Amino acid sequence: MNPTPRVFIYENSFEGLLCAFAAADREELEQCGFAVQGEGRTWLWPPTPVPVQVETAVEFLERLRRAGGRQAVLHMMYGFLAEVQKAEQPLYTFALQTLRVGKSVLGMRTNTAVRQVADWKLKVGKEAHRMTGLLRFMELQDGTLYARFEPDHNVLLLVTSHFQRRFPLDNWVIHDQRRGLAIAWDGKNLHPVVGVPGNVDDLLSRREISFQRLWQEYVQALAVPERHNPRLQRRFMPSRYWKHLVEQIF
Amino acid sequence: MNDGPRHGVPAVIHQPDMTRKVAILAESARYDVSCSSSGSRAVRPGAVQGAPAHSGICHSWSADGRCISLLKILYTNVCEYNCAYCINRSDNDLPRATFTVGQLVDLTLNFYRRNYIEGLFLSSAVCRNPDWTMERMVLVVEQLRRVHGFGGYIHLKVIPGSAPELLERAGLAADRLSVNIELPSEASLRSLAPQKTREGVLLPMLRISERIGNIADNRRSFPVRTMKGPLFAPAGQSTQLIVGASPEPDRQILRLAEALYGRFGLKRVYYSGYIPVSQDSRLPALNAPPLLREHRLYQADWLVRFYGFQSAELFDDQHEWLDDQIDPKAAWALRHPDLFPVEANRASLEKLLRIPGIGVRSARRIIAARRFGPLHPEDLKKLGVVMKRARFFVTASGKFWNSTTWDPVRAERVLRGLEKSGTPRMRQLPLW
Repeated sequence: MNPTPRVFIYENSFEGLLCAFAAADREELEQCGFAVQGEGRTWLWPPTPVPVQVETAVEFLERLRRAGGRQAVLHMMYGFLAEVQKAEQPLYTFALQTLRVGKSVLGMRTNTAVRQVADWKLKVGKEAHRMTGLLRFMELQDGTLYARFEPDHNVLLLVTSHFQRRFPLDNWVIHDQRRGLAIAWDGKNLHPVVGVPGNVDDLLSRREISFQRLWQEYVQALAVPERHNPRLQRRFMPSRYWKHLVEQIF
Repeated sequence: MNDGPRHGVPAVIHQPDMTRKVAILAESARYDVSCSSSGSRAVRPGAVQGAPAHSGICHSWSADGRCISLLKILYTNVCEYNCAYCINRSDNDLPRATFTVGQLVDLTLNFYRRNYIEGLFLSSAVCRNPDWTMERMVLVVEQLRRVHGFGGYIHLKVIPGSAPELLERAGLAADRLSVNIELPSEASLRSLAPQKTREGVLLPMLRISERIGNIADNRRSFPVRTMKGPLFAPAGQSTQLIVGASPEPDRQILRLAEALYGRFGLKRVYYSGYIPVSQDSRLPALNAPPLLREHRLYQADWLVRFYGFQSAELFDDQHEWLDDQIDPKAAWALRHPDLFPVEANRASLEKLLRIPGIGVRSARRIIAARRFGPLHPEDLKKLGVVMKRARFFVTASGKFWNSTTWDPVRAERVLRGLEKSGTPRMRQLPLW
């Protein structure tokens, strides 16, 4: 007799996902379904809801770390932050492979699931790195630096440590407008922020606009006319990011 | 706004407003190629704002597709010299401007604060004399570091002929120093930049590399790791030379670059395709900058720095110039058919790196993946190998990819675009 097809329903968080993986692993399943709670899908067989338990999640992650090291854990995390549809099965396969073969799992790029997860890691890491350059801070009247962006992947948490090093003594806020998430640094701690205004035009400092103009002028002047190559420019800096760039005036 | 100490600027120059000034001095700086902010891990004691990122960060791209990482700008474009290839030469009719130390410091800090830049790349025309100019530049950097605790990346251009004390101060305050070698040979320098000399360029370069080396030695001799000597240009030094303004072949240029990497320990040699900025009869008449040649030189430069090639391998007496139709690695491979095909499951990293279409990353991936079992031709694609080129030179488990066969003559014709790749392709059936 075939076993009943299993679907695990998890709460949409990294911990939730890890708990679902732990539950599937406990039953030694290789293939199974995963779905986010509250999606309102209907199933032929009754799905299994998995409650979030932080200890379970931590324990599963710790097993991964012991088997595959820090890199394997980062792969799982970035894979989750990629926010790709149907990422669960490749991530689960990746986790099982890691537990089986250890660190060298990262070399198994001929395996489809491993390759997908490695590509997500690369993509998310690349966008986070890109954003450390493309974020534009605006100075508000009280001296706070405010930046907003709409990244493809959920990289907000991945860029904050960079800005903690860069602006350790400033107050700043980074706002992911696409996901309605924001995080603030007050010179000592990070805080999540709820209800950041989308429009800060009235709050800008006196000199803000003049520095934006200087920057626009500078970027224009720096381009060598004989090398004009807008296609190359867009390849490095896709136009979907331009909305929040001070220097790109439409 | 901090205006800093006011130093004399030539009185004849009308000083434009700040916006205009930024535009003038950016336009005068834009022919410098380098904009890299990488290579520095230095966390400077006393820094209260800013830290370099070791990988370097691009903050924007200008309309020519070049990365903007640093505030690349001149202190002044008022020049005593009259170098034929340079836009800022003294007999060129050009709007001129000069910053004050305070203005440039304020501009850098405010751009940095808004995350427009990773730091400052300060260069200058030679105003009055090399020492006067170099001292203004050093003052900017010292004020950033000492008064404002600025920890961001600073690349400082060294003005040939300026005093050794200024070079010392520059190295202690900047992350990277560079002296432009400008032209690939002494004869060209004499003809096109009569006020500059080969020694004037090489001496500071040598001094910097000795100084960087010295610091490293000192550190090693300290018994306690925390007792570090002061940082001197922790991101090393680089240089730039103009290609296409003088007659030297690629072979000579690359031999020069190789020597600079080897003997002076340079981090980068930048090649700048000559853009006609003057009608001088000593210069070639070009319709467009030699961008393809510049690209090929960079490819060859990469082969020397990351792929274990010697520049001599890329040339011989019949081939003094890099091929414009195919990249230097493929050109090399086609001249050495006896070394191919290479079997991906057995070849060493060094051998893999020499296969056209395989880069550092895909070579490493091949080595990691083949531990799990023999690789087949279709696996190579999954590992990121560019099969368009690699297919002619590599086998996996004894087989070529997609019914390619070992045929160097045909490979060359296909790579040169003289023949279609011509493998039997599977066609999409018409749906309607």
